[in-house]
Amino acid sequence: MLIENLIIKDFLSFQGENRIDFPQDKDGGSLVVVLAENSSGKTNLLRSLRFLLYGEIPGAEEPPGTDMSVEARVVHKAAVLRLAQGESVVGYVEATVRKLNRRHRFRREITVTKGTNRWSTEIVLKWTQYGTDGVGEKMDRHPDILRSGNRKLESLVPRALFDYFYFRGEELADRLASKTKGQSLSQALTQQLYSEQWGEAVKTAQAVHNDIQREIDEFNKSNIEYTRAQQDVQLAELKVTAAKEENDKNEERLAEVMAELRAIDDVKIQALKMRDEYRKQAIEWEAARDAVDAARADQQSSENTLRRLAGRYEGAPFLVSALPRATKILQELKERNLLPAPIAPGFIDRQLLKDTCICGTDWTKAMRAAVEQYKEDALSEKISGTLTNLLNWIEQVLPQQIKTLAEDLPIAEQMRSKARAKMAKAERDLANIKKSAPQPDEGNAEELLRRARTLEAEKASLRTKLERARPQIHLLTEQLQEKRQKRDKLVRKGGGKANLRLANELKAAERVLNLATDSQHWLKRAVYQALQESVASLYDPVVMDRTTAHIDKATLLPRIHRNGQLEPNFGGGQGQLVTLAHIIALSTLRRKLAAQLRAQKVMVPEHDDQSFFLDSVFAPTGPNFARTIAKFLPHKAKQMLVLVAGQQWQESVRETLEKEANAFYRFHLHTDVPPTNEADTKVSVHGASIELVSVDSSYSAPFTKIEPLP
Amino acid sequence: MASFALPIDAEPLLAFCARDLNCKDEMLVFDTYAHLAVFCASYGFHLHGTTPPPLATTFVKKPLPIEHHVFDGSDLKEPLFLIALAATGSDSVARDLDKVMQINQNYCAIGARELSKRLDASTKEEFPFVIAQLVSDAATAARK
Repeated sequence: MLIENLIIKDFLSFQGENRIDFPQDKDGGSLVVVLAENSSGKTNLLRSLRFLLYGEIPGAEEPPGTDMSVEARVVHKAAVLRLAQGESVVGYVEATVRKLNRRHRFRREITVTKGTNRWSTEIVLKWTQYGTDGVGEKMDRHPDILRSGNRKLESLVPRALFDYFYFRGEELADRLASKTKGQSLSQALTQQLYSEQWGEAVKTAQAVHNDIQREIDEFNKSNIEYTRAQQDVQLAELKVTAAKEENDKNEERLAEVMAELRAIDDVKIQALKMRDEYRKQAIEWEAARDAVDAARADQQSSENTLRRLAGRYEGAPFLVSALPRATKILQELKERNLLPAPIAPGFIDRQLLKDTCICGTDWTKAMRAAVEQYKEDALSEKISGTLTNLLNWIEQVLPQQIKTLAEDLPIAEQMRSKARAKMAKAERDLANIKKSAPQPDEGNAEELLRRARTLEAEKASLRTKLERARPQIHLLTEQLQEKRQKRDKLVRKGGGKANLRLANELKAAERVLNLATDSQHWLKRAVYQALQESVASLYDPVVMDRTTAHIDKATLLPRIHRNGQLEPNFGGGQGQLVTLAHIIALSTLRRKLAAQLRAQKVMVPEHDDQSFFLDSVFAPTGPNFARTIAKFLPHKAKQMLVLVAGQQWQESVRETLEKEANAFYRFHLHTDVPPTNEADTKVSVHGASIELVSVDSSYSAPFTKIEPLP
Repeated sequence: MASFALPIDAEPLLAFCARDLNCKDEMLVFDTYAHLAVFCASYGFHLHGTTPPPLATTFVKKPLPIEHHVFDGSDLKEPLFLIALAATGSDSVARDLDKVMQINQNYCAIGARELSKRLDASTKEEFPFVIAQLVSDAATAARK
């Protein structure tokens, strides 16, 4: 069903008449964007549609001090409260819709009349059907046809699927992700895809088959030979069924294995690339680490040299200032022949006892006094040795030590500086390599490779089994045919015409049962495969986080895989995208499936293109996913209305939808309460600043007007 | 017997001697406490000159005072006598080994105090290079 226009008058939060048109682009598609502040009635739009389609009365805000019924409360409060006694007001929801090239206008209106003590209400459905000539016929004039009008409305969008096609993004994503919450939706989908009808057909065919079989059994129970033949047939049937089931199971498993292999193939290639890159970088890393170690060793060596040089010669250069005085003293001692003076005092005493000096001259008094003084000043052998050594040390060793230190220390310092610079560079290089080469998850690559190897082995094994199974099934089927023929001969021989009739009926029942079973099997597999391919083709190319979309075979609900493994809790942007992909894929599939079944003379209702109302699809996502979703939406369905909250109208969304949308509307909220965040109440569309909220203390009750934007 | 007691200001510097338990590879500058003692005395003389230094009165408890023959065996005696002669300006000090030791202890206290201050301003790992810079500067100046 596609909507041409939707009119809401004095209904829920909408005051006066409000209209949304769905203009088409050159391809017949329609994308309408409605901008709304939170709490301005986005959800009321969906409630209005429910009221129109199913007559559901939404809960409404209780006006203070009134005893209005729930029905009366759905008409806009200000309009109701204005009523004088005996006066009435009409609120309604009207839509002109197109389905299978027929146009209809439906209006469900509710009239509230103020009585003495209470408000009375009346709900009426009006239906106009337009012919190919564009002339409308009012169907509500005929009471019988009006009843069918309600059925017609419900058939436009099955009630079980309403939340699916007209949805609040986050809530639906949550429902789909949850097994328990998604159960009712899963059942609705199965129903809509006719699986249940086929299941019923199989059951019925089985029951007919069993009845005939029972009749034959009773007829032949005295015929032992026939009973044995029948048991052989049953046994052979069981064998064929078991072989076919086994074969089906293997085929299904092979499809799963192939799908998983395809899913992990890209990831595997990436992981392998990363692993190779990592290994290459590991070598560079190792070299950089070796360079750091070598530089560290150089630095340590140069520092050891410098340290030992610092302590060597015990600060000899500091003694330079001591040299003048000490050298002077030592030179004086030398000049006085006291240094070196290896003459012992005993030797002097012995010379003084002689008559003459050692030079042969007679002792004079002065000479004796001089020798006595010399004896007095003479140093001991040990002290003389010490001072002689000191003199030598000062003259020969100390200058050499100072020279060594003056020359070697600057060189050692220079070497240390160079070694430190080299070390710093090596560490920088290592840090840069570490920074530029974050360690990839090599374990993950290995795990994927292991998984791929396991799957490849399983694939090969399954293919072998399938190849072997084909001739086996063929053989078993032939054996079954032989046994049936043998049984049938016995039937003809022993049972006469009645038994023959039953045998023919049984054959016919078997054919019907086989046809129903095969059809159900085909339908189940076809739906699953078509849905899987369609959802994957919509979801996989647009997400950039390497997740893939899959369909749960049992529930037909969407699931997300990462690296070939089920992602148990998906949400946010992924959840929104997979949900959108799923509903779009399903609506297309539903339409195509109905067409195919009708082509096969299976009478199921015909389906047309589907309209979608999407509320809050950008709400729980970051800017990247919001952009992805915005780019995803256009041209995915014939008709789409996207409700966007003011704070979600970010650049990432705006730049795409401004280009693609066929029309823009705003929900203009009129209230006496100033908004908490004024920034969210103003949006920009095609460069124009649009207010979503008007504040005026004179408003008796808040209300919303739906207004087109230029 | 004449001996050299290490002034209390030398205590933080003990860890830079190979014999000390707290000495790590990256702190090793002096082989023995005797080498440290002579280094500090030389540096003290360099700072203070021939003006009589104040008497050092407080000394570390461990290590015990270093006996004079330890300096003999390590070729450390010459700097001690050089300082003693230069400080007193007389050869008579050479006849009094106790006096030689005491004079050097006093200079050692001055040098150790200054080095400890420099250690406080640096780190244990960097201090050896502070010492190296001091020695290098003095050696370069001496050659000029």
